[in-house]
Amino acid sequence: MRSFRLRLFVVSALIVATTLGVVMAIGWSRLLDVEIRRLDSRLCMEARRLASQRFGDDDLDRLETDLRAKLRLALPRQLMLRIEPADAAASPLQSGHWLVGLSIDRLPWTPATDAGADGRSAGDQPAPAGRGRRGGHCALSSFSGADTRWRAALLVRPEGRGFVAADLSAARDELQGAVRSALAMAVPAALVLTALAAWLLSSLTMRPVNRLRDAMQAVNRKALDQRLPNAGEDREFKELIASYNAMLDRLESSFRQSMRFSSDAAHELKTPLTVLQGRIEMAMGRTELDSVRSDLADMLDETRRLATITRKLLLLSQADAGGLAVQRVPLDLTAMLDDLAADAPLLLTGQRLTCSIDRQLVTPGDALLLRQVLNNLISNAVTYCPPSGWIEITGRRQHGGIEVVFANACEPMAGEERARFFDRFFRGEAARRRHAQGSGLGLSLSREIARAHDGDLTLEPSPPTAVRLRLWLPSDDTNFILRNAGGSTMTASRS
Amino acid sequence: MKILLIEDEQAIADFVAPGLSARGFEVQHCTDGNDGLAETFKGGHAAIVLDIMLPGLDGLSILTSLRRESVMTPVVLLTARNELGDRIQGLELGADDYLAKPFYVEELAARIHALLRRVNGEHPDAELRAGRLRLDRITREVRCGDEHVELTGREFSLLAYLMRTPGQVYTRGQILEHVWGYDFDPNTNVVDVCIKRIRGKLASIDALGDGAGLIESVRGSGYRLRPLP
Repeated sequence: MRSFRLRLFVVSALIVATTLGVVMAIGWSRLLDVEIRRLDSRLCMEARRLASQRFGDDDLDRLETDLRAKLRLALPRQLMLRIEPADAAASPLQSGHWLVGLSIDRLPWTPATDAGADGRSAGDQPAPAGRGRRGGHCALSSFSGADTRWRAALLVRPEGRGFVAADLSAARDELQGAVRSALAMAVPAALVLTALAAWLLSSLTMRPVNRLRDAMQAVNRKALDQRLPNAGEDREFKELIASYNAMLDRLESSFRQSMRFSSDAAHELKTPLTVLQGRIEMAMGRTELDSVRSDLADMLDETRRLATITRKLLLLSQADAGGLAVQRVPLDLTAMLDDLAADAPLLLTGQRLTCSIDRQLVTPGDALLLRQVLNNLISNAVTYCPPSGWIEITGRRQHGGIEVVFANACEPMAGEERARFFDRFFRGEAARRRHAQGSGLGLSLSREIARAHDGDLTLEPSPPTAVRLRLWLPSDDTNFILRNAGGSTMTASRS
Repeated sequence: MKILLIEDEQAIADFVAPGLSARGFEVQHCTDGNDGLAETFKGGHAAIVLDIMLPGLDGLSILTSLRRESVMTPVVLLTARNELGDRIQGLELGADDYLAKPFYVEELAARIHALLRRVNGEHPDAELRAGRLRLDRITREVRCGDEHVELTGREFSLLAYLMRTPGQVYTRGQILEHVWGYDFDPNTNVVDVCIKRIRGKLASIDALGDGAGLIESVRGSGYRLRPLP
């Protein structure tokens, strides 16, 4: 199942991580920028030195070493320098490493605008554009050559020109090294922070959701008049709570309406039934004529059937409206099943019955309703079982509850007929063919009764020529008295 | 014995009152809850038959008032409403018995008799007699003269039901409901089979006397215990 919380966590982690990444990238480029400007100012400073002082050929090695140290360049091929005195007689001085075909004059020079490029502090008076103080001005250029990028500074003074170029990748390598060692510490910390932030975010979001869920769970159908309080909630959740409460209002009103309907219908239907039944009973007691009495007896039994169907319908509508109120007392289910087994010989029409009922099956329940369930199940089995078939009743303790299975042979029954087993007013092919009486309400009501007892009634998978109905009820082990342990098996059959 | 019937439906009172009168009770009828309550406090009733849904004061309120005032007259509740809740509530409030509508007047009368016997300290229907046949509801023993009759649980209940009122005709549906409970399919022949077995057992003990002819079939209607001479 997808978890909203997990999704929230992942999304927040992604957002935080992306933000961190962007911040780091910007920081990196700013750092690089600063580094280049620092380099620029050093280059300009060195170029000024080269232009303003006089150097001889002997000075070249020393100069190169000195510059490399100052610019922090490890290798000779990372530095280029050239000094061109204004005096045409003096020969220019050039470093040993020089790119083939490099001409200073053909490079795209831009004047250094930054005051810092003069090698002075930024607090000084800004220099006029294109002109350095003390006569020279520094120009900067970037170019590529020998598989790398170069940064160069050129300073022109009356005495001559000074040119210094440094391998940019060297500077960047140095910076990268420093950043990498810093990141080695920062990245795990950032990851931990990211996870922490994401967890915090998702928890923060989930907290009101969890609170709402708990509150909603507390509102069940027995307490439909409860409403969620919205004091202290954020605006968004206030709206949610208002919607939920509005839904509860509608639910409660329809629940009350159906309860009232069921109650009113009970009264309206049962009063005429009572009058009818009472009148017929009275008339039966007064007549001495067998033919009249026989008619009246039939009418009485039909009235009774009508009353039974009415009662079932009302119980079902009550179950639909919000559950049957069940008064639970410890019930000896074993005794009830034994009664049923003892009755069986009277009911059977040739079927073979096997019962295996554990002793001391005690369930908390309503005797009237549960007896009705058992009666339903046995009449169902007898109705659907052909005369030569078998019926099997098992009652046993299972997983902290009681399992009662009514299994019987039947004529081959299609899956679609099985699927309709619990439909109201549904009567199977076999029942109709045999003109068996019954309203078709028994099984669906039995299931409601089982559920009202925190149990269930289910149709178990079985071959097409058998039906297995499983009644599960909670067990009440606190109340049984230890009598004789063990189970008993009895067989009853009627020829 | 005077019975107070508090029932607002005139049509129901119209057969309950004569039905109870025919069975030896004197019936006083109230149609309104407030009148009913006033009558109960006047006293002199052996039992009260109380409908739950009443105009004025409803049945459960009357019951509550009665018990609060320590009026312990036995009460049989009649209810048509959603019976589960009423049954639980009614018994909790101190009703002595409960009948769901529709009900048989015969059943109501039997319940009142049983209640009155209980109030008077007798065992309810402890022993029923019919000729030489004696049925003990406490020990669940049936004797014919000195002979013990071995009956199953259902056979015993059925015989006891018929012996309650000798001469009264019970339909198969009535017997089925009383002995097997609500939901049995009235068209099964379980009642006939059971009666046949009881007759067989009685006949084997007392073929000529009370055995064979004690339970009479009433053609087309049902069964009854042979009326007492």
